[in-house]
Amino acid sequence: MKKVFYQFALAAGLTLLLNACHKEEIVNISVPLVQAGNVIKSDTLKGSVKGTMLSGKTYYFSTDITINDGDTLLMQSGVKLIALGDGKTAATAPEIFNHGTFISLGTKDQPNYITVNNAADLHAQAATQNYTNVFQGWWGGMVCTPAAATASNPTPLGGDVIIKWTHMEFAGSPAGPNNDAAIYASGDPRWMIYFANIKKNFIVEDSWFFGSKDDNIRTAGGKISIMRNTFELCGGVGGEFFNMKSGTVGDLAYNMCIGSATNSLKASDAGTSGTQCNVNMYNNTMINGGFRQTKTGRGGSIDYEKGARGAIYNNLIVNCRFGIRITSDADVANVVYNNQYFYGYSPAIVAQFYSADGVGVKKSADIISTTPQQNNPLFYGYDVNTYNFTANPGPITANLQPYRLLSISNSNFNTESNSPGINKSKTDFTPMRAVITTGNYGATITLPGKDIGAYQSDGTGNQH
Amino acid sequence: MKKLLLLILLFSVSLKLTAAGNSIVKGVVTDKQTGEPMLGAVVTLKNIKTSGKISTATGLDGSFIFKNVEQGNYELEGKFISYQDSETIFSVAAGEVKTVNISLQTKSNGLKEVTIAGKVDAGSDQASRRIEQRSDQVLNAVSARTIEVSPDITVANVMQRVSGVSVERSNNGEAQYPIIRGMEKRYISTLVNGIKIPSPDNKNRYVPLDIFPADIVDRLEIYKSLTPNMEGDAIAGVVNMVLKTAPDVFTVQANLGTGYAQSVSANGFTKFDQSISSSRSSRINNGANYIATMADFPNNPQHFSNSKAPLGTIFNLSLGGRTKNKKFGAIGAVSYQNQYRNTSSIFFDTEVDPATNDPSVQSIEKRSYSTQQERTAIITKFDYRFDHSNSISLNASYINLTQNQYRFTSDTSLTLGRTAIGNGRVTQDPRSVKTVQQIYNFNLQGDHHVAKHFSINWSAVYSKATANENRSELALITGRTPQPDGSVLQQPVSIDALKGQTRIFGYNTDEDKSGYLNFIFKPEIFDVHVEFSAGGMYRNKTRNSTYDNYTLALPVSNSTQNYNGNIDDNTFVVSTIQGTQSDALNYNFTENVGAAYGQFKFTIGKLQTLGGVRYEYTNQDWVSALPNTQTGKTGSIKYYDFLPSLNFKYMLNDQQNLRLSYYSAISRPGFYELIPHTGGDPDADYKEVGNPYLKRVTAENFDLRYEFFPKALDQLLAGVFYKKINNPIEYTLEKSGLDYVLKADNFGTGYNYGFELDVTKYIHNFGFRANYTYTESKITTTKLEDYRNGEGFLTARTVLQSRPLQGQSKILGNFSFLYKQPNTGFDAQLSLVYTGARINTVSTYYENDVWQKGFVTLDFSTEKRLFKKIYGYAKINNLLNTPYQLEIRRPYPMSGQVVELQTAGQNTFVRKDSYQQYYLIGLRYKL
Repeated sequence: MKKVFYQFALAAGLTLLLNACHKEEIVNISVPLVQAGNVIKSDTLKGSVKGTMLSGKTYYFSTDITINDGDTLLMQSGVKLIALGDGKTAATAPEIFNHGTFISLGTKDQPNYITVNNAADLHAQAATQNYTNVFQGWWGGMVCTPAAATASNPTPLGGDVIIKWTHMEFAGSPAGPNNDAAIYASGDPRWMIYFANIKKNFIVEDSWFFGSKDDNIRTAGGKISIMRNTFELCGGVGGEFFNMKSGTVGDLAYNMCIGSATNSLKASDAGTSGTQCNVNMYNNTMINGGFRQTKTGRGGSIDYEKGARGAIYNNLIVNCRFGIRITSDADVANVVYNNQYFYGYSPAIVAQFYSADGVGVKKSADIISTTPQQNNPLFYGYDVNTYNFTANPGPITANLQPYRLLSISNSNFNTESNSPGINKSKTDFTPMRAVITTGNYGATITLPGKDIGAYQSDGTGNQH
Repeated sequence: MKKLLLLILLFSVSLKLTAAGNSIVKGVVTDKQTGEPMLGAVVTLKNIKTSGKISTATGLDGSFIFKNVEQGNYELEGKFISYQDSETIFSVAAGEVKTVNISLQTKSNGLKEVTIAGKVDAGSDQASRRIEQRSDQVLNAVSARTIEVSPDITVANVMQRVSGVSVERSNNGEAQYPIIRGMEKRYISTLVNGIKIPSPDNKNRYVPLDIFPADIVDRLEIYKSLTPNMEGDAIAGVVNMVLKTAPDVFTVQANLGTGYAQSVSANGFTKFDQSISSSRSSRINNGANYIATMADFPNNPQHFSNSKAPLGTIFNLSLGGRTKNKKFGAIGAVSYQNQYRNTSSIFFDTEVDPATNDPSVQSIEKRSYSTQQERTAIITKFDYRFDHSNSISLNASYINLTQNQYRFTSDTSLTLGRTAIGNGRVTQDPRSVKTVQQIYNFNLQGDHHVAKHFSINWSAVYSKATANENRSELALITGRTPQPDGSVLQQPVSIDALKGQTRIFGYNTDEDKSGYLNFIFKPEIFDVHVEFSAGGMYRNKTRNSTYDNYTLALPVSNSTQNYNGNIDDNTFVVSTIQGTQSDALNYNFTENVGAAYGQFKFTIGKLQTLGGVRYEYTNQDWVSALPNTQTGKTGSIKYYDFLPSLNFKYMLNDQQNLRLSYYSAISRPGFYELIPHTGGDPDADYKEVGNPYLKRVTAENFDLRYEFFPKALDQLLAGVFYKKINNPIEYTLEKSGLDYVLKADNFGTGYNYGFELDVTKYIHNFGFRANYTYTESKITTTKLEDYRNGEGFLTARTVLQSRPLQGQSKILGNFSFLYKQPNTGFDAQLSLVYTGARINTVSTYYENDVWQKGFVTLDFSTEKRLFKKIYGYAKINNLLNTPYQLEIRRPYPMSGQVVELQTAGQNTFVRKDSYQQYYLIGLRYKL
């Protein structure tokens, strides 16, 4: 009988060993809900939108709007797009989610606006040197990324973003649930524009940016051409006008930057794109930058950090808390620079023309002095010596900074014909031309000009 | 002359012999029911003729010896608390070495102890053997008495003394989770009285074992193989805490002690004002539309004070007994522990160099912790025996771990603003966290012998675990900034205008309702006793979590504020006025598990066979507060498993077994790992993200073990094991946006095999235990490697890398030495644990995994009887001040930033935590 048991045990054992069974999971995870894009029919935009906003009209949105993958939202010239809300929570500060193509075709005569209802009041408050409300953040800005993958569309491509002759203002209210946590942590101030699409074009030309709460524009990958824009008064307690991360490739030229909290233009290869951040910055003018940043060792005009590379030529840097800063972890061997023009009111500014915590050094064709108030750039309508930077070395609270220090207002930053920067540019290098330059929507790239700074004596360069 | 001397010698010897006798009486005292040797039993030898008495106490191995006994008739009496006295009468011849063994019976009315076979079969039917020997499966056990004399005050501490078990420590150095045979804590399930209990931990399914005071446990069982009647969610094994049960006679035990941490001696202990720190968030209290103001966030948690030398407390009291007719029994135990200790830590934030893939240090962070832990446990058990065939019991317990922790960090950037040692950007972060974790457990069990060969047992269980966490953090900035003239300027300490203060309110509950039912049929078939059992269980688990994160920033109109140490001098505004109501960590998760099994057991000759199959069905569902524009707002996951198991035990002879076992098991991912959240753990070195697509782990496990029990408590266990693990879950460091995040993911197929050896030897007053485990594991996965391409641009490529499984130490070893002098009631124990190097975190980058260095810890404890029933004890933990150290096993590059603790060419230093010694002294009272 025992034999029977042994046989039974053996048989049972073998059967069991063969029969371990782990059934594959039946998984049902909700995917992001995508609404079909609706062609714009009324002046109120809601949900998923596409189509054309017609010339001369004003449109509104009070909740988040989305441009789906494959769709295009186009603003003809003279269009106003108004974000409605108090900006206090994510729900009352709408955002544009752009997974497709966004085009704003303002013109010199008929510029476009993407702003808020109370913009005039905020500008008036700013003019009285009261920035508390200006920097509150009133809407959620625009996030441009490919859509999340779905079963029917496993590899969304996203699209281009082309912005010409457009005013963008007052973004920055706290991020909320609809935001991708990899971009914004809940409660983070949102940026005016976030662009992350390594294969697509991001073109910003002849436009104005004002009153962003934190960073004004941030890119995490993209082919960029940022030409002839004016950046004013951005960043309440920190933030850059234009902050570039890994995967960003292209040119930034002829931009007029005034009153940034930290840097005007910053490049870093931080991130995961596999494409090195490689940008040229030439013929830009930067004034009064870096004073509101409360953190130490940050920079105040041009900054190359962490693996970033590119060329820096012909920039006019005036009264910025820090001048060019190339940190030791940048791709230092591949950062080329020369022909910069520095002006400093105070000894502290002069001492930091090349930031002391960076590795940048004075170059042969730089216009640079070790004495304060040397080499006045001779602007047509702005006195570089009106404000006492010696008495106010920073960091400083915004409301202690005069309006004229932070915005163009009625100043004129063209230089007089006897400015030391005239004819001192390096012109024998070529821009990267990373973007499309043909057709209506293509970029218009202005080549390096002979005068240092954004405004050229021959009338080219920044047109504002 | 020589002859005379010899004569005198002979004479004197014979004189002595007549005076004291030349016989010896010796033996061993054992528990009649369990066969365990009983140490400290009083044995009295009485000469029947003269009524002369001598007494002694048994040693560690239960042995006693009387020398120089005269020939004659004797009565030998054995006594032990709550046991019936035993008397044996015998005669001793001159010169005889007489062996008389005593087995003592508990003062019960002879009823069998209630065991619930459906969950854990302790196999009490073979009462003459020790638990490990007679067990049907591969098992290690630690008895209450071993725990009592060990240096351990929590169950987690005890675990590390078991063969093949190491522990993972929390940031205060306290052992927290077991790691069996080097397998991660996720592969181990924790039972209380054979029932799975929910975890109060917001991140994990597994219960932190440091929540349990060691003195509430009667026995700790570590199962290394599974039988079909056990839940299959335990690839590496099962920890079963058997709580104390009602003794047959009235028993009182008390213990009162005080503790002191070496680490608080230098700078004292930092406390914070806890008066508001157990609250829920203002959103939860006032509704989702509530607009928070600064009035909702008093500064109390940021008010700090220093306490010079705070003393810890340890106290427990247990009372138990039975009614006269022995039908009703009750036991109640209260335990309270309070500990203060400091920890200091240094951590390097590392990334990889984009051109060489070498480790690149980003910042050096110094952290100091002051942690107070209060553990309270109330355990009650009532049982009623209707008759010989029917009994029920109710077990109700409440356990609370309250932790108050102050942490100060100072983080110096090594990349920005750093031009020489001693300068750079610095962020500082004073933080206070109060966490209250609670477990309630109600377990009603019944056992019925319905017929001669047929019995039924059942359990109905309700248990709930909750955790509430309030965290307050202040972001400060300072720095030593290099100036153009070469000098370094010390910046004032100012408040980060954007981050300001962070207030986090986390709350979660985990509630189980379960039922177990088992049928046991023991017929005789062809003269062979066969045991068939079948049964099932069903558990409904609901886990709810709420999470709010408020930022209190500086107003734009007052954005540059210095910090003088008193936060009341600063002004803040609420910038996230409605909390984070749509954070994914606000979720409801339901998990229903149903299981059924069939199992057989029989013994033919020397071979015992136990086998069967278990079916487990899992149905999970969640809804999180995420908007529907995000992936994973809702999810459902369903699967089932057939888990066969087969255990052979070949009993070579009375003292030796050979075991061969196979079982199939699974491991379910944690809720926190599945929910698509971002962030949530303040102590994680990197932000954590969820992965809703995570699969369960499945494994096929084989064990072969030889066991030798030469005598009493002595044993020799030697075994080999092999595990094939599908979809092992590991934490990997990935890039997400600009940050690195930690994410749980499945990684192909891993293999895990090795051998273990466990030796225990007692020689009357001395004893030593040693065990050694060697484990080899391997998994191959894809990694990234950063490099500069042919055109001179920085980019990355993928490469394959093989490595051990995460958390898997190749070598684990334990050694403890015991000394016991029963007559004076003195004992001492020295315990050493070696934990070999293991991977702490898996990096996305090739050859950049973070390893925990191998380490040795040494603990000491001693106890001495002071008066009749009062013992004094002292324990010293972490005698060697062993640190916790992490490193990347890749040389720190020559081009790396010059910084303390990093040496070019040697492994890259990542982290070091130091805990220092902890001392405990106290009194124990036993009636």
